[in-house]
Amino acid sequence: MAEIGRPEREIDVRPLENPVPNVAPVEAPPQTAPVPEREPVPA
Amino acid sequence: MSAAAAQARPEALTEALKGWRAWQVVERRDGICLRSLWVNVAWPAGRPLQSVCSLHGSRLVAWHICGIHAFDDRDELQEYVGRRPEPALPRLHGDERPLGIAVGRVSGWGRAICHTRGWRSQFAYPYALYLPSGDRGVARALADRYAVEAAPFAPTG
Repeated sequence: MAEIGRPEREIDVRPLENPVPNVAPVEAPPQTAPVPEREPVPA
Repeated sequence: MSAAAAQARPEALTEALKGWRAWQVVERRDGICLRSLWVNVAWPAGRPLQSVCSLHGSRLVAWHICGIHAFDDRDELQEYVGRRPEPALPRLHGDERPLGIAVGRVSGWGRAICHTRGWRSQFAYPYALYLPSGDRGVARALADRYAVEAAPFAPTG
């Protein structure tokens, strides 16, 4: 595409930050197990 | 590019290039997505688009057109899009419906060639999208698909 002009130099781009956003499907949060009721401590 | 420059070790950058480019917006069975204006390729979501040349594979060559192109300047992009006649857009697949054009910023990385008015890179992903049509629904669909900002208006300023 000559529209972007003449080539000037070659570069090697290795971004420290990932340019691709995380678009993985969001999974439902794990179900929290019900906390069993504590048995009354005998007096 | 001089022979000496071509043989010199490429400059190394640690931040993705940012440029301006345009896309076709199409509706397919799996939703609304971006397609390149000049070549028959749909832009994936969640992973980079990788340039593959029929002659050179994924490695860019200075004196070829391979790579994913972007302008440095937004105004030059808009002038270029304005000059390009509609029939010159690549033919869509039979089950695709055109929804207009998107313009915006794109990130580029990997091996890249800097040009006087832009660059072309081995990998790219949209960074921010604008819908000159003003269609909020399409903008929302693109934002959801690509997880980038997508606004239903053309950039100003």
